[in-house]
Amino acid sequence: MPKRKHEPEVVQQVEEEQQEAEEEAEEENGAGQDSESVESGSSSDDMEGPSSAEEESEDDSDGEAFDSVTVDFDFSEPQEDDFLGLKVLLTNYLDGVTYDGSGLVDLVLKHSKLGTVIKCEDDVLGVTTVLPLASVAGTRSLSDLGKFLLARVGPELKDRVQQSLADKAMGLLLSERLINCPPAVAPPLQQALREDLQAHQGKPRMKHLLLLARAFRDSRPAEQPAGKKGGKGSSSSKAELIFTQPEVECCFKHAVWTAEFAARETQEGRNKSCRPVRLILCIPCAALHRIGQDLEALLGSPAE
Amino acid sequence: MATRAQFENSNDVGVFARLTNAYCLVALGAAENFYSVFEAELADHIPVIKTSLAGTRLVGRMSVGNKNGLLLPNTTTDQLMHIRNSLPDEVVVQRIDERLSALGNVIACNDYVGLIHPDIDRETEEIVADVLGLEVFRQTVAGNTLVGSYAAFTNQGGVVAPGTTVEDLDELSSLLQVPLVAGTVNRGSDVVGAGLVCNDWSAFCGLDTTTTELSVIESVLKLRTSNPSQIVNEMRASLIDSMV
Repeated sequence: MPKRKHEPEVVQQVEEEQQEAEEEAEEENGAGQDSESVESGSSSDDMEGPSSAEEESEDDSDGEAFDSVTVDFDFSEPQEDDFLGLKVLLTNYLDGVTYDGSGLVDLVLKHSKLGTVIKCEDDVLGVTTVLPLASVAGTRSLSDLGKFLLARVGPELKDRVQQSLADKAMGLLLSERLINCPPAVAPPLQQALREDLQAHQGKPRMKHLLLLARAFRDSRPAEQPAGKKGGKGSSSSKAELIFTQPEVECCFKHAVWTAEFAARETQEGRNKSCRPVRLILCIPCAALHRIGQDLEALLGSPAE
Repeated sequence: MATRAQFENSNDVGVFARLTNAYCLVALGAAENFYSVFEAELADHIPVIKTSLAGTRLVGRMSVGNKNGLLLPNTTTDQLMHIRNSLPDEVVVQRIDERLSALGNVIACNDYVGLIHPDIDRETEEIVADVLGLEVFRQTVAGNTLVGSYAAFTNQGGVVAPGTTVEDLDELSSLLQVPLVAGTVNRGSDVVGAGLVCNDWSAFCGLDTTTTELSVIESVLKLRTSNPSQIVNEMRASLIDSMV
C-alpha cells in the first residue's frame, strides 16, 4: 500500500487547533482576531512550481500551551509522480464500486493544465480538477461513472443525468481531499480553477460543471447548529446537510440542479448521528465568481 | 509467467494473497475474479484456499510462510481449522504470539532464508527458524524495518524497494544467495512486498504494473520460459568464467 507517513496526524492536529481557534474567534465575535493566519502564494494560470499556505495556532481557551504546528501545503499541477497518491484519493470515488480508477487518474494527468493537486511533502492530500466531457466522453472511466450515477439516482433525475453526461459543453469537476484538510485550502483551489478554466483553449468552451461530492445528512433533528462550520445558527426540524468541503456548500447554493442519494455505510465509519450521502451538482461556469465570493465570506478570511 | 491482477479497486495483490511453492491463500472478495485469476494459474499444481485472517481480508500481510510451514498471528481464531484442513500435511501451521502481529510485513522469506524485522522477539525468531526451516537474519531493506513490505523474493531471485543502495543490495544478495534487483511495481510503488506475490514458477502483480516493471520482475525471478539452448548459453558463460 502506498506509504502514508505521519502527515495526516499532523494535518489533523492543525485542523483541530484551527477549529478551536475558529470557535474562539466566533465567541469573541471578531473575525479579525483570528489567532491563525493563512497565507497562500498567488496562483497564476500556469500552476508550475509550488506555492504554499501556512497555518499556525496558538493556545487554546484553557490557556494550556498547545504545540503549534506549521504545515506547508504545496499546490501544483498534477504530474506522473502523483499517480499513486491520486489513485488512493479516487479509490472510493464511486462509493466502493470497482471502476477504471487508473484510467481516471490518467485523464487527470492528461488534463494537468486544468487541475491542482494539494501536497504535503510528496503525499497527495487533495485534488481539484476539471475533465472536459468533450474530450473524455468515450473512456471506460466515464462510462463506469455514467452507469453508477444512473443506477443510484431516483427515476425522475435519470434523464437529467444522461443529458448532462452527453453534453459537450460540460466538464466533470473532481474535488477530492482528505476529510480533515483545513477548509482554508479551498479559496486558493477555487481561484486556480477559475483561472485555469479561463485559460483553457479547448473548444467547445465548458458552460457547466458536474460535481459528484460527499456530504452527510444529520439524522437527528437539529436543535443546535450542526455542521463543521458551526455558525449556521438555524435550527430545523428536518435533517440538515453537512458538507465536508466548504466550496461544495457554496456550489450547492448556485447549482442549476442537484441530486442526492445515500452512500454505503462502512462498519468503521458508522456514526449514529449522521449518514453519508453523495450529491450530484450541476454548476454554471458563470457562477464560479460568485461561488468564490461566497466561499471567502463563509470562511471569513481573505485569500490574498 | 507473471500475471496482472486486481483485488476490487486495489492493485496491491500482496496484501490480499499469500503465495508459496506449496499453497496459496487468497482473500474473500466481493467479486470472484481475483480468486479465479489465481485458480486459473495455480489450481493444477497447488491448493488455492479462500480465507479471511484475524477477521480481515489482509491475508498476505498477516501471514507468512513457505513450503515448510505457515505462521499466523495470535488474533487468528475461526479460520485456523479451515486453513489447517485445506493445506497439505507437510505444511506445519503455527500461531505466533508476537507484538508485531502483521507477520507478512515484518518477515520476508523463501524456502531457505528469511529476513526479519530488527525488533522481533527472540522467541519468535526461533519459531520462525524452526517451523519454516530457515536461516534467519535481522536486516533492514532500503532503511526500512518492514522487510516483508519492501522485499519480495523466491528461491530464484527477488525484488527489493528502489531506495536500496548498491552496497546493501550486494549484502542482501549474498545473505539470501539469490540475485536481487531494486525495482518498483504497480507503476512506481516502492512497496514491492505488498504489490507483488511470487513463487518459483509464477508471480502476480497489480494491473497498473508497467511493461518495463513486469519484464524486470520476470527476468530476476527467472519466470521467462526459455528454450534449452538459451539455458546452456547462460550456463556456459558462467562456467567458462570460473575456469579462467
